[in-house]
Amino acid sequence: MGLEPRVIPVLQLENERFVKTKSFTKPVYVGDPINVLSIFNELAVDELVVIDILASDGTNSINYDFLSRLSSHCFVPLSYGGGINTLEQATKVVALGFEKVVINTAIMENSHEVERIVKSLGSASVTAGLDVQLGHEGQYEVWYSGGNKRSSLSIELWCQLASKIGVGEVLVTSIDREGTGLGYDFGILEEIVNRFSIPVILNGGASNRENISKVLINKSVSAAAGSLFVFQSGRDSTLINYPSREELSLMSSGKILNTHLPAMSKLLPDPVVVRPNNQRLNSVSCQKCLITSDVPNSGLEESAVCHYCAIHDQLEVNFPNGEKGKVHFDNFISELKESGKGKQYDCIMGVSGGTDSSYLAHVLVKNGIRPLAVHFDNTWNSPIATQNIYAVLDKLGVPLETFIVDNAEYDDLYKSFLSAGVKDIEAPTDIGFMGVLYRSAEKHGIKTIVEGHSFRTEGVSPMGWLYMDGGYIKDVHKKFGQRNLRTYPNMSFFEFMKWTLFSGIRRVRPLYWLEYNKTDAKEFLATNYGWKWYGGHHLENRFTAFYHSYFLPKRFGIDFRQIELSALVRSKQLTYEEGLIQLHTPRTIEVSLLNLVKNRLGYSDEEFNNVMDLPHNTYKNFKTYKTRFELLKPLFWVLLKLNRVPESFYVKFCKR
Amino acid sequence: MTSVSIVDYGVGNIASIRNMFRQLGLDSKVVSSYKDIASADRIVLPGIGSFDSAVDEIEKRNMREPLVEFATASDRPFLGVCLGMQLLLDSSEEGTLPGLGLIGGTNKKFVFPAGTDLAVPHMGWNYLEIQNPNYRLGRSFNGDRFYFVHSYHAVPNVSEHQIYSTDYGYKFSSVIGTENIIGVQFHPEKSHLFGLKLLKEFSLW
Repeated sequence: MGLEPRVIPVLQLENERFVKTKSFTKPVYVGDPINVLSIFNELAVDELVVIDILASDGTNSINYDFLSRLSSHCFVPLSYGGGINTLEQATKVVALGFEKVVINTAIMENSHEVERIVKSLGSASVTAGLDVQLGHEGQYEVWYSGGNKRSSLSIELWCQLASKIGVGEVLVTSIDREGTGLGYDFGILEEIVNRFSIPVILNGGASNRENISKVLINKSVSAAAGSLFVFQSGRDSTLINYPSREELSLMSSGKILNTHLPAMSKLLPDPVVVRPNNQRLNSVSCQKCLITSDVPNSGLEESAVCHYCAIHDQLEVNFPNGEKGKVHFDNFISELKESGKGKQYDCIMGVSGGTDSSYLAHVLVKNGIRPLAVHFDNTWNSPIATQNIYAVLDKLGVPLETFIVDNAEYDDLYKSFLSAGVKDIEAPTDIGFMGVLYRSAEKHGIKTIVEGHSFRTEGVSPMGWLYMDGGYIKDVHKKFGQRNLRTYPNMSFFEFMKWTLFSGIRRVRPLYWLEYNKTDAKEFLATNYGWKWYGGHHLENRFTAFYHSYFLPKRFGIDFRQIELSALVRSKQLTYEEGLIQLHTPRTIEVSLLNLVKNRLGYSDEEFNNVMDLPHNTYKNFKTYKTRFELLKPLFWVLLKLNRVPESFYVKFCKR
Repeated sequence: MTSVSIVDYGVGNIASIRNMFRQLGLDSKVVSSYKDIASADRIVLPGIGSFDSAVDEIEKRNMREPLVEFATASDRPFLGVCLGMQLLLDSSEEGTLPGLGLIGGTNKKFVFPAGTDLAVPHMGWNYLEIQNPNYRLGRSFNGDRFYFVHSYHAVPNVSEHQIYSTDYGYKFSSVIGTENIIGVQFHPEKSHLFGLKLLKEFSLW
């Protein structure tokens, strides 16, 4: 065992957002920095480099406040580069929690100052950044100031200068290759590696994980990459990913890497047990499932068996599984293949990294379907979600399109819902997700959206517990939002009608026809895809986890497990007693998750507590489309028959 | 519930250490005055940069006396991190000023025979190997890996003070200690789960 080779993600910061450029131009937005860093942190990456590209070329000054918030969720070595010209700046950045500073321009324009920085902070804290581009005569040119100025120094002279200054390592980036995925430029590596006895990090153009192996063969050379770790395939498939320890071991062929990690659960403080603010009233229970009379529309005033059991029974009639179901399913598959002939994709499916969508992807591909996977990234993904999406889609060879919201805009939307005092703080995600699926289907001329919903494992959510539509979102934002809503993919009434009525796009839920057992599915995915369980339905997204584990139970006394567990009891995937035990286990939330929510949304502890104590408000006090949906009930009945809207929509939105 | 006091002498990455203790659910204080150091429950001495600069800062702030007294007059735990560990010893080849002298020995630069391909500073993730299992850490960190970034390494005079070693060209002491005083060359606050494990252990002493 000895020093390990390093594989380092390089992240580009632009105005408190992470972006990815291509040869230093055309930045593409890739996510919320705090969330992205915390994902990499949880994936136990070797170290991270953050470059503020607007500070590099002098446009912006160093954003110390933001840097301090960034480093607070990161427990791996962090390097910062961008606009560091003085000892004072370097010292300040390091004090905020960054291990090293990356200095480029200052080496060219003020090398004496950089020498002072090295003397004061130590060579190990200073990385020299070298950006190169191939010139017309085939020699490497040195560029700086964010790739805007060309230096007259030759590579040889630059290396001499860096050595004289006494930096601890060199980060060399090929401007030609960076962001292209065309492979590392080994030419520049050859030119400089022998001129230094300090570590060299090669950056720019990593094409795949094998390409990284080629870099790691060289002793004292580490590999850095940007696009490879923030996209799944192309620049519209944002997905944070990083090789596992086992994969790193393979990539660094010949160097044995210990793959063990201490158990996180033993190290962290105990999760907070969530106690509802108000006690639940004494209620009557359904005889067949776990629904109680305080659940809206339970029907338990008139009947011993609840309304949701009745809905389930009706769905069983409409959507049998077993042999009859298999026939329907096979027909559906043939239909899809037929309508997909001559086209690039047979259907669209939404992926979240969760059990249902992951399993559905497997089922479709196994049956010869070519889906396009679409992911709605609300910038609150947990690392398990992104790793799961990556693992499953990569193995199945399914292409991915990601729509990623603007983090600042979205957080403002979340805050407006929180300030509104309503339950439905996840409405933006649910509507945004549908909006993205429809837009993508429209763009690609795909007529079928395949959904992973399974009534046998999830049940139907009660109207009084969750309401969402585009009008509601618009109104809440209008009344409580602070920023303009520009990139959020809302679904207006007009768009919804267009897509359901005129675009001929249908929505199908194939799992309804299959013997879908949640426990078996999880095991299957884990064994065959290295898929990981994230501890609870919907918990693959951090904000959703906050919503289900803390916000709803604490503020409204609502626990959606009651719905899911009841469904599992009805489908006999769980016994009544087991379901009851699980339901009575209190919900918990990690302290670190609560801190993350407060940090991202900019709430002090006091402000957060105030939000949690607001008087209860409902969707009925806002301008929603509910009345329109009710008035158009006959139309939606037709659309239901045509599979343009799911049955759950009809039952919940169109009836009073 | 005892707390952790982190010494602020103008050098070192205090924010990250505090964040890691917070992740463990522990509150930490930042201390610099004689009084605060003397009354601490346990002390962490961070540090990056050069030996003499650090000693200089300690002298300027009159911290030498309270730190030495804290470490020697009671059995309260004292943890030196990275340069903070190097300061525990008598001296360093990097400079001319005296260290705190809490553990006998000096700090030497990594020097490798000609033709060796190893870069200095030692920078990256490397492993711990047990040297002295009788120290209070036992073997529990054997085979764990941590993030190192340094050009000089500690060489304690007494072999019992060499607790864990790490291999970089040759075996050097990555963890040193005697009774209540412990030094780690690596950065626990940058070694994610492994760092959490070490700081948790220290917080329970």
